[in-house]
Amino acid sequence: MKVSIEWLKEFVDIDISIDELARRLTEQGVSVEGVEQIGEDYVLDLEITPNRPDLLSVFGIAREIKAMLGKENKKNPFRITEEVRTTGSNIRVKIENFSDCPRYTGCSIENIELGSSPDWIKRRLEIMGIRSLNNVVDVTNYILLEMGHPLHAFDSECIKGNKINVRRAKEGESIVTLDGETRKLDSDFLVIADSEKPIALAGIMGGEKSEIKNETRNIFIESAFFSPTLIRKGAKRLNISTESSYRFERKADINSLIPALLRTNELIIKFCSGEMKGGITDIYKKEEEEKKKVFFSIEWLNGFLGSNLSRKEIIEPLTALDLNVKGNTSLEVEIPSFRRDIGIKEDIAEEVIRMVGFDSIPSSNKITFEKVGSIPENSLKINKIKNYFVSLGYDEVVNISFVSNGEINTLKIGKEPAVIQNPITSNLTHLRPTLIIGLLKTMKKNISIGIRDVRIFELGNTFVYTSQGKIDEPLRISGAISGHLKNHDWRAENRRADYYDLKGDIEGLFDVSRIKDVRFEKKEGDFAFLIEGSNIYIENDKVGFIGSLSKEIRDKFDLLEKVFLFEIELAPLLTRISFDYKFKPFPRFPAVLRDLCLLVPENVTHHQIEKIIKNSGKKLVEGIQLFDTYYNKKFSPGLRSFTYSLTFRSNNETLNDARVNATVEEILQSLDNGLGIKLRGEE
Amino acid sequence: MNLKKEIEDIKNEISRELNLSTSKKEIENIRIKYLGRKGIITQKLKNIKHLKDEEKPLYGKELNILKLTIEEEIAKRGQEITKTVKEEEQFFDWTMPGDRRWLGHLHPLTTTMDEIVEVFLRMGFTVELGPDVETDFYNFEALNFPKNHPSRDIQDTFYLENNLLLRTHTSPVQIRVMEKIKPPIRIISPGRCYRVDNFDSSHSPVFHQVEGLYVDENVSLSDLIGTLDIFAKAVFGSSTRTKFVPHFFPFTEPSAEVLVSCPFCKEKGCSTCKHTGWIEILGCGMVHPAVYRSVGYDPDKYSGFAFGLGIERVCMPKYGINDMRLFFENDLRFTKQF
Ligand SMILES: [Zn+2]
Repeated sequence: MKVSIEWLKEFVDIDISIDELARRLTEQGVSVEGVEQIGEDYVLDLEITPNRPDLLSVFGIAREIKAMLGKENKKNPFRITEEVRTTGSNIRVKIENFSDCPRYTGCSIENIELGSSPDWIKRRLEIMGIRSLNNVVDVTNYILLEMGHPLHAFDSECIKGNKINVRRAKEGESIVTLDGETRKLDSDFLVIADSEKPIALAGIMGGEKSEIKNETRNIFIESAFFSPTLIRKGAKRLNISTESSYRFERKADINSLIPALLRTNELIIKFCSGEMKGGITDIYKKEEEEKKKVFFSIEWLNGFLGSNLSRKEIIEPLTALDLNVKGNTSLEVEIPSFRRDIGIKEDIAEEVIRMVGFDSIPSSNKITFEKVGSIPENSLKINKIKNYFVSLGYDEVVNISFVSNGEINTLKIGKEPAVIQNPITSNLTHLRPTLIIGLLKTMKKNISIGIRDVRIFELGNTFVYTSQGKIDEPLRISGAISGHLKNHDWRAENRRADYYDLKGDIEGLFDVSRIKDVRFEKKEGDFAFLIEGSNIYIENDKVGFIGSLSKEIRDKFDLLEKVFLFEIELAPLLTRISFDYKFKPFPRFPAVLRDLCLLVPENVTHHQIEKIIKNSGKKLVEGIQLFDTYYNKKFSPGLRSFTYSLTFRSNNETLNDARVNATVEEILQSLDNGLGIKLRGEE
Repeated sequence: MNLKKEIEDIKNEISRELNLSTSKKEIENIRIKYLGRKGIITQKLKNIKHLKDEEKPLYGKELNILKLTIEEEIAKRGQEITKTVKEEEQFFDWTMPGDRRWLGHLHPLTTTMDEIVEVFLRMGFTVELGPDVETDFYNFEALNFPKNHPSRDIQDTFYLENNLLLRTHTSPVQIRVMEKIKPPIRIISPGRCYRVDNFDSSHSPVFHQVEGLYVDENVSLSDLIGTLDIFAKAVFGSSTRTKFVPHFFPFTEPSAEVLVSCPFCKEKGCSTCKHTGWIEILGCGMVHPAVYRSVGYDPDKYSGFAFGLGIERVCMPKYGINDMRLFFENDLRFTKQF
């Protein structure tokens, strides 16, 4: 909200510099976002928090400044000196439902002379962002800015039947509002209606028909209280926010209706001539409520704030804010109706702290460093996993959680994704069921800026529906590599990344996680976007996949080079990672090495060979290393050569040749029987 | 002599020699040594004819396999050597660049988050986590948001099916923890949050927070000030000052925004702090009694404070990052700087 210093000075003497005023207001919780000089005047741009509707006026700010500077108000527009004749005007008002509108006041003024306002009014309105229209409307706006209460002026001729009915709109009714828009209404909208139809959208905007026109002579001024919820809802449905709706939404002060109305009358009669016709209408179903009071003790307050404030230091600022305080050590504070935000003793604590300043509260070191907190074990494991990938040269990326339906469909990645009902754009409509989409977008982005060699990973939540219709948030890690393995430098062998590079990194992950029983099994065809892929199993749990991205998908993401990627669900991994491990003594007996050069039929996998070697190796096989693969035209068709280096070791004795030879013979026999594998040179 | 042992020994010796070889010349010497006309293997093959007839086939076969293997090994080593250095160009320049591996980098949000968590761990706060998908109760109701509070609007909060929503802060974790355990409670909850905002230099629909909660008997505002003061000094340096400015949040009363003195200009004013000398990094306050009531605590018995800080908001001034979008665009020229 903008507020003119010159106008403020009408209500309070300001004898400090503008900069100091701005600083102190901010420190008091009335945040000054900017100061602008306009001619001789200065304008403060204030951010008013939603709990303080009383500050949405010049007088409200002046009251805050008055309290801050320890001064008195020079005048108070809310103070009523004369007796108010609530004998009713010539317009009869009916409220259909008091919960929609607990109070409605108004009065008629006749024979006004419509014209333009004095320059100083125009200027004040303009500074605060309101365009001058005519002297009547300007006065209602002027009072809105001065006192914070919205008013509305109707052309009395347009109030059919001299009747005002505050009611919900009927299905099918509509109104043309001041901005020329036709608004279709229904029972969610509160309207001001005459005997026939709506003439204003209550609290939001007047109707075009009943507006003040050049020929208007007689007017009806409305000063009412409308349900904040209802105004909110209405303004939101029409997607408009007016000075009026903004204030009603934040709750008007029910006691300011009459003062605002009287002050409006005063100014209209002053600037537009005219005279009041009849008395004031005041329809008010007053709920008998005692004046709001808050009780607290000085001891409680000092305990709560950790302060050591005296009674005087507490009472003075409260009194300055027009809160009436009684009592000695147990205090009673009477809350005026304009302070709708104060209801409990903690609110009073806030008022005190605002006024005395946070600086007057000592900084305690009571709770620091007295004990060490803990972190969930899974978080530690996650850090370990992230650091593992970083150590291998992967960069961590962070993508937002939203993807498009199209992207999900492109990957055809199982499971029903969760849909966002109110997405910000049409390409961020779903919660990501996989991290892969983000990685592909990241790759695309980086290739577009010329970074072709990419090694990235992301660790984060994904979202899927469970069979019970709940949304599950499985944590996943996903990574991708593409391009060269190293920088092109003067001696590096500049190889491009492939499946085995990525697989090695995954195997390493399981290694550092001390997870043993891991298998890579050919994928079952559920990832259309992968070629040369496989599923990853820990024991019997399928935990993820690894593979090469299909050409089709690469084209969709403009990825020219081959991309290898993986995704692993972390829960099964995290439950198996243990920080509880012990040092293993070195082996006591020497190992014996044997190389086996095997001729292997094409359809046989390394995994099958490994399994047989392990099984037939009688627990003497400590290590199996595939160290060479080889193909030679001289081989029979369909055969290739695998050379394995086997390490044999016993925990109980030094192995002799005979024992190792016998074991090797047995392994060879099993390989031959099971897979048709022969030793090279024996074929 | 045992034949297999003999062959094994020869093989091991050749491997060793090949590994030590660094030039084509050396490799050629190895070849001559074993496979040349007077080479070791050649000699052995020649000697077969002196063996007993029943030994000849086995010996012959084994030696031929050995010869094949050695030929392959020698060829392979030869290739390796040609790739690394051309013999005639062998020279040594200690100023030439070393052979670098690519380094990986953690995302700055991760490092900043870890750093913040670390500070609070040392102050006795325990990390608690919660889901991103939340209910109205945990995200708003229990935190004393009035029924018609604008934050609940679809203009501010992302909704999913069945009235589920994406948490707008990590405060729901506070409620979940307080429902489970009685004070004293001293927790922080780091995590991802969501608000309906378009991307611009200071907004993102997805962002990260760390929230803290401390509830016990006799916790005061003074304790809150002390805690955040130490936090600011730990993250931004020991000369950092804090400034508390009154503010409004539904779940705390009194509430404040906390500003830290600009780490770049030491309050003189620069572009990072928009020439104010101060940077706003978090919101905090004393927990509102309504929050205690919603989890069944006695507001007269307990008091406490809560605070929430945006990781991006801490990270940006810390590293002089001027655009929030950089965090989520994953331009690797950005990531690789951290
Ligand atoms: Zn600065």
